[in-house]
Amino acid sequence: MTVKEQFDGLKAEAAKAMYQLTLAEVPELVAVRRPLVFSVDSQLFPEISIAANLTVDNLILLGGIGIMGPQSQINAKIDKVTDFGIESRACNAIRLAQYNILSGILPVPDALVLVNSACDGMNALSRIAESYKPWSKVPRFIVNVPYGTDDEDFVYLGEQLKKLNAFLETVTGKKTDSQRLHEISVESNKQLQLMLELQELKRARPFPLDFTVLNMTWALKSWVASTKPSLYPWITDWLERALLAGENAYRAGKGLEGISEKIRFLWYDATPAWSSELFPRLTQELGAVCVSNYYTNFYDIPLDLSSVDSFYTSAAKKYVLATPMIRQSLHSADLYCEDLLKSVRDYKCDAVLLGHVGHRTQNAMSQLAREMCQRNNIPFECIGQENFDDRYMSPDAVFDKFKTLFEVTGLTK
Amino acid sequence: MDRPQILEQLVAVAKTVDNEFISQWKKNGGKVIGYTCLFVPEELIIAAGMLPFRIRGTGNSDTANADIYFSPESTCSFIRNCFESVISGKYDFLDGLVIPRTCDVASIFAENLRSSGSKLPVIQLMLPHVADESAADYYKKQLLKLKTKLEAEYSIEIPAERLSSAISLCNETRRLQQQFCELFKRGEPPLSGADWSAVMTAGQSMPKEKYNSLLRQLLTCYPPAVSGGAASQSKRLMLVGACGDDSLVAETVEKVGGLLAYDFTCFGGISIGGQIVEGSDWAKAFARFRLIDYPYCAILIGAEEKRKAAITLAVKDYAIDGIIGQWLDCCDATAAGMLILQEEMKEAGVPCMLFKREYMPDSFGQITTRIQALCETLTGGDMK
Repeated sequence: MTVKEQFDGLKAEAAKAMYQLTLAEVPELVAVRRPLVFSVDSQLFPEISIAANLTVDNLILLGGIGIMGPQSQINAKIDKVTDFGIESRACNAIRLAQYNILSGILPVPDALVLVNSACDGMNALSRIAESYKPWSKVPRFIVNVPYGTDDEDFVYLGEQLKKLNAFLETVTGKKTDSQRLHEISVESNKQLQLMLELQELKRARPFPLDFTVLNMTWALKSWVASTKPSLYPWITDWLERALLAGENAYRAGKGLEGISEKIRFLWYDATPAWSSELFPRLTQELGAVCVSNYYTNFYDIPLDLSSVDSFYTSAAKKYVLATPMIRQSLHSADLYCEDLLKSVRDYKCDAVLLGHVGHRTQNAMSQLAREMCQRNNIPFECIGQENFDDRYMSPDAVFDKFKTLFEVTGLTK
Repeated sequence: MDRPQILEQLVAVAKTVDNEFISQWKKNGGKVIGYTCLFVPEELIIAAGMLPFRIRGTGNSDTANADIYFSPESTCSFIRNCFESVISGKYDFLDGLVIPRTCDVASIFAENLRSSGSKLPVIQLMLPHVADESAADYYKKQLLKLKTKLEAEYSIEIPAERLSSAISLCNETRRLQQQFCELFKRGEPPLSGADWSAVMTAGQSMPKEKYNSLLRQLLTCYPPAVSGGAASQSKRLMLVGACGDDSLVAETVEKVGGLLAYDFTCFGGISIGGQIVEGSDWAKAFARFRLIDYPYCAILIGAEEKRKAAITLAVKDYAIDGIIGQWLDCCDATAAGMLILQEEMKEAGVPCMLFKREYMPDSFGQITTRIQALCETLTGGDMK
């Protein structure tokens, strides 16, 4: 099997697993899945829920937005949200999740987990879920994620995670077996290790990975795992195979088949839902390869299994500092800019592009990022696209912005 | 009745950024500390011997410089106008700023200010975004850190007794403001909604002792109504939502024949509720005040019941006929709050009209038409 075939196989398997995160499953939720737990962000506690064999549905992902479906369907959903009266200019992933609640599409859950992170949009979604009348009697737990990164912040969040575990046990009747939690945590650390090794391959030139596969790793480890705890061992196996395929490509030293790499860029953002219309064209026409984004930057913050308290504190630290978008949204502009520069250096990026309008913090930091890139002679562009609605700025228009940046900075020569 | 001179004085304070009281304060060698929202305890700044000033974007004509740092496509116009005012020199009288981590963009205010070349010292205050006991405890710790940072930045000590007297002083302000609001329960209030908003805004823009004294005098100009006042012919509206430091909505309502009888906005009713418990643990008292007793900021999760109860009570107390909800474009928290408000008011049978606006709008024509339509609906079409 060629490397390309290996990557294609991995993509197909992951896509199938990820499909199960979406609204496609709602009839099943109503008919079968009890207890039904909705969380604004299931990334908070995947190991805990997996150890309890408890499925947790992520309210953002239930929208199906950005995960599955042709762009025309996503746009149609966005129009429906606007017609419904949700006029805000929040990120469309947030608006769609708000719509799914307010329109009554979702069944009444048995428990709700609300949280303020990673952004005001998630905060707003939590408020909508909290106030939605048909859910008013649903037991809920609200997590306050601190914006600081001191040890006391991690302890504070860790204590909340411990209480969240107790809450879920009480409400769902599913107990977290400590031995099982230990095993899952060991597995989680192993998965992290595989992802860190996969990440090392991003340094290689030519780029030896299929970016889509790389981009799927976090979704599998965190989102899919929370929704389908039984898939946890398969996720480890998938990561091992992804690493093997990447290593094979790296050893061959040719990059991926059919790609003539000329420019390496850092997409310092989440990848747009319509990236399948953009990234292949960038590669084919300009030889521009995306080598990193928010979801493909991994941080060596494992779970500390030495005691119960250290487990929860480390889970908090992992969430705050190692979760994509949380890390970039919650903390200081200094950390944001340092990460950017490190990615550029580690992965030999020729240019940096970003700019989802729904990312308020990121937009507010873009001038700081621009100034830092100027100081370091790194071509930079804040595009201003909407990651879910391709009519806000079309993939063609975004392509032109890439092209212009590459041309004026001499990267296409 | 002629408008009291004191009222004109307070309106003048609200209509500008710099004012005669600030000038006098600075002339006497006093320091002024700006802050951006209610989560910063004015009491702490007063106890530090400094003057707290709640910054706003009053008087800006554009945000061209701020837009370099805060994209208009993604940032609410309140923050952009505040930032513009600071970097354009309107706030040169400030000796420092305290910026709480209220929202996504406010969190980058300090860094962008530094990048713009400003040398103004900025202290950040971390905030919880949940209204519960454990968050209040976390918030208390952050308030104590803020006290330490203020002491270090300005080489001062903030003694406990000064904190106690500052809390008493601010409690007195809130008491007087609540008395002032009572005037709007009358059938024919002696002041306009625009005056209401100005008086509240002035309270966050000048020394508290002076403000309290003026407000006390102002209240004596309006003795208790003999018979509770005649029934108003005007429909009584309440403004809910963002900001509230301008009188645009109040003036618009009054222009079309309505009356803005209550204002549940950040600068308005949200800021004046209740009293802080006076005692030994000021940080705990303040944290509980903002997160447990009066958790009305749109950013707080876990406060829906209390928020709804406060609005419902105001509707009853002020005999409100309809609600106007305003949010600023790109403010995700308030936008969600408006969706919730709409549902709650529908259930309560209170007509509610929502609109999105800019902090300094180029035109208010469409919104005027909608407010007029609301008033006409309430009166069955018999309006100005």
